[in-house]
Amino acid sequence: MTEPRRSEYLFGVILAAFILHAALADNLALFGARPNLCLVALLICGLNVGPGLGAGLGLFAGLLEASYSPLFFGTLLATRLIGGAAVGSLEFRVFRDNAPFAFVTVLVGTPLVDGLFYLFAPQPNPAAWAIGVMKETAYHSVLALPVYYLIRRIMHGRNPRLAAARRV
Amino acid sequence: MARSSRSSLIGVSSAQRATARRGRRYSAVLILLGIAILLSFIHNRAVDRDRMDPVTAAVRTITVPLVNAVSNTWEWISGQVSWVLRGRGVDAENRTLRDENARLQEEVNRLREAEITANRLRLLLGFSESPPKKISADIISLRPQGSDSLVIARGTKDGIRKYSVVVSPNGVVGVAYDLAPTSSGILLASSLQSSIGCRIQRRESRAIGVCRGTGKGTMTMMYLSPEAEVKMGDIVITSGLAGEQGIFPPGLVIGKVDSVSRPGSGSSRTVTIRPSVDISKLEEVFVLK
Repeated sequence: MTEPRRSEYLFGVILAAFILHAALADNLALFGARPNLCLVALLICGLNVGPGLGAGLGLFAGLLEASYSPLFFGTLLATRLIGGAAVGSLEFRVFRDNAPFAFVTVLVGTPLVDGLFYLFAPQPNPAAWAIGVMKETAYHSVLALPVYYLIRRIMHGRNPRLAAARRV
Repeated sequence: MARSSRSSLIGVSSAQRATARRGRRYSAVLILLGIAILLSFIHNRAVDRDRMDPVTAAVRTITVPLVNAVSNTWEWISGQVSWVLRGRGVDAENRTLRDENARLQEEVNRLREAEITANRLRLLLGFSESPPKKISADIISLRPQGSDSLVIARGTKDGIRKYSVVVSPNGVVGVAYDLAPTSSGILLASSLQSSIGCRIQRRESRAIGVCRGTGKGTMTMMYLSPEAEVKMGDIVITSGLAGEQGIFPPGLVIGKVDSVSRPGSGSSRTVTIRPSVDISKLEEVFVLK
């Protein structure tokens, strides 16, 4: 897959994740945990790109989320952008195409991005907020692998190993 | 000697190339960060001046139809599935609802009579009051990023303005805050930024105060007079007096008193209110014009 085509796919994945998130987030809530599909998609898409494109995906995700929120516009933009850039900065040769690492990225990335959000916009009830983040992280960790394999399939087609070998 | 100096030269140049490459990788991040700051500046400036933010308006105009389509499809599918799964339960529920409907119909008739009497008396006393127009609006997104907000599929094109009051049949939902031509972001009554002039509905009390959101799904009634009589279970309604976000029409239900703290020496009471509207079950709201 060419670089521009890959970027288009990734932006498409973020948009699709956001639309599902905006339409269904409350319906998908389990035991009080609400997933942020857009954030999960951003963290996993970030594994496939460098810091620049990661930041671009983050800005796009942040813009989508911020447009649906009457408050915290700048905070959402900044946290998603930094999250995308940070995941994009991870070492390509070691971490690319690695399912356990995608899981770890989501497990660690979710509280970090939410922590950054709290740093920029402190919330009124820190304990309730922290519990919410823990629940969200647990939910995200369940979603991480299915989303990872879905994005991998979209990016590389039916035989990702063959596609990777062709690229090399 | 010559070979070693050449290799060291090559080493320096490759290190420089790597640094330059790294610099290029991160320059894009800095440029995007600058764009994010610029977008935030444009947004905040527009919000401060009570204007529509062109960026969020454009994003919402493009994405709202897609979100709406997914939301409607989900509703349709879950409706079909629940009908299949809950066939018998639906029958029982229908019977209960029919009974409740009959009871409510009776109450409506009684209240209609009371309204006619009240209007006649108002006319006699020289008061005039026209009920506000209601625009129905579908909810297209509930709490999209976890905060106390929702997005409805009505915007400035439908005559919605900043701080237009949003209600549901159960009571006050919030106010329109972030406007776009075809959609609006609603700030919920229970959010930390919310402030509504309120009153205890009970005839013996009628105490007035200001209801503020706590950001935890509840509200607090403030500025109560020390003599005000408030007890658990009291219904709290809008007073029609101005809060910080404009005037809510009087008589809209806000919620029920959940707890009343005992007044300490020199401190005022804390009255906690549980909002009457369950946001997670909302499907449609009305915007008052």
